Amino acid sequence: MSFKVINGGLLSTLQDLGRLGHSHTGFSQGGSLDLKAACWANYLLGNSMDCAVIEITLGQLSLQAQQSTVFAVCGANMQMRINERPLQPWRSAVIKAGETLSFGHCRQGMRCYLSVSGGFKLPLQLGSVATVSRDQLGGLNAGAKLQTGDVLPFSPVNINKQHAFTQLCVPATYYQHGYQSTHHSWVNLNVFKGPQWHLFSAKDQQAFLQQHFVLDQQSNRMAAKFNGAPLSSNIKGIVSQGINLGAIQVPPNGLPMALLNDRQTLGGYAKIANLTHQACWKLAQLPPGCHVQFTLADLATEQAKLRQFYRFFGINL
Amino acid sequence: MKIEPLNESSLLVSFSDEISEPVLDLIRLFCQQLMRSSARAAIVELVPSYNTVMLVYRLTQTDYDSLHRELQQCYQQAQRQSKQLIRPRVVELPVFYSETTGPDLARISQQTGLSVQDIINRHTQTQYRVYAIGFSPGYPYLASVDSLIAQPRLTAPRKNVPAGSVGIADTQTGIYPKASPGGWNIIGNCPEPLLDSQLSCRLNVGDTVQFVTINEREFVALGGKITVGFNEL
Repeated sequence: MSFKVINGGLLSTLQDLGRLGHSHTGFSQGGSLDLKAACWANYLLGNSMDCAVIEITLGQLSLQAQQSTVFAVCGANMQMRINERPLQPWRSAVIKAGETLSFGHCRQGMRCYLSVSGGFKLPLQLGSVATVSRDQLGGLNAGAKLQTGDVLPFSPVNINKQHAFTQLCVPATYYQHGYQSTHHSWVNLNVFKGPQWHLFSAKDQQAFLQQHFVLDQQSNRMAAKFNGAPLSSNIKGIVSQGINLGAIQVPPNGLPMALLNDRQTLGGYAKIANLTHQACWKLAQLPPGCHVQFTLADLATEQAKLRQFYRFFGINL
Repeated sequence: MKIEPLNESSLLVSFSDEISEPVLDLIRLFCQQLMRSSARAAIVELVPSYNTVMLVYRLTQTDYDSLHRELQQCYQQAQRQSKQLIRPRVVELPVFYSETTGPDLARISQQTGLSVQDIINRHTQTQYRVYAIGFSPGYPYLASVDSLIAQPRLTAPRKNVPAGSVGIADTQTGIYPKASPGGWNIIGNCPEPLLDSQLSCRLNVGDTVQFVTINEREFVALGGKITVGFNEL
């Protein structure tokens, strides 16, 4: 039971909740950048949330089903088709043996997630399939993205038995905001003050929260870089410390960068702020050129939202 | 000690402004206490580094205030324990110091006026502590290097430093577990892998490392490989 990769697209990688519990020995977390969309994709199939999914960045992926199965796609709309039949995201659907699922261009958002009933069956490395190219770990082959000819095994599925999951969709209220961003969009990202917030001058703190930054073309799974008026502070490096998901550090050029799932585990740049989890997922869907503004969030409120999210999806985090 | 939240489910514990062996020992004891406490099940990541510990916790199993109390207790216990003398584990690592495996030896010799042998002696005579592991999987940050052989990082990093390379950056020394780009001054090569086939790491933060000189024959017998001309890469 498998999908055969006809075209790997621009950047399609196998991901899951991430390689957790190994930061102290230097392994990057990895995992789905937009965890919300990835969880919905598994949820629509009744899968466990630790099932591997394919993170499709900017489309162009094309897969041929070797056997019939049920799958779901959530996230950015990439003009998906089964053979010639167009298909909407945020839904589950049946694909029959021999049919080809292909993704076109991505005009809004950046990434979508493909899950298959029962999950992809792949060997775990340090408890995860998460593809992390910097660590040469995960995926089918030492951290490589999907390539033509790759075979993605999945569990056998009785489509009749699975009928309850074949045509489900996520209610639009859950995704109508956040998946339509283009390079013209203006977006707000919630942050907390970072551990070195107080090392920045009042002027820099103000400039950080008041100006609009533009998401740089060089952004990737490791870090999102922002352009704008550089912060003026002459903050020297700090003693290296663990880097958290969403940490916003300011290197000597004064331009903030947000560290994402494939970040290195330690770093010595001052961190002015830290994105909320929801802001990390939102950022994963923003195309370069997008304007962002950072806004301080309330810890207790954000904790309640995240706890609710984890409980809804049954994630032990 | 200071505890502050980083985001919804992580926090930073800062122990001291200074970097010292007593602070490192306190951090090691604190982490041990925490892993024996009832909070253990709620911990996702525990990342010690020099004078801080970053912690990611399970929001569905605990909350910031309960964890905060638990961390303070662990800190007090660690402080009490730190009054007794505890000897950290010593890990011996063989190193083949040579012009071929250590292309920066000659330059350090020129710049410091020390003979190559003197540099090697000074590097092996010090016992180092592991202050952090990171940058790449299994990469240990060891300190402190004899100030006479301390060297700033290369202005232009090399594109490919062979696995096992032993380097110096300021007063720190370290070992590249895998071939990678890097800007440390390379003085030798350790043939023993730092990550085993299961990817578990041989060193822990807080360990003591003792480098031991080996010759080319021993180096090759231990599986060491000589990369010809990597200085030009």
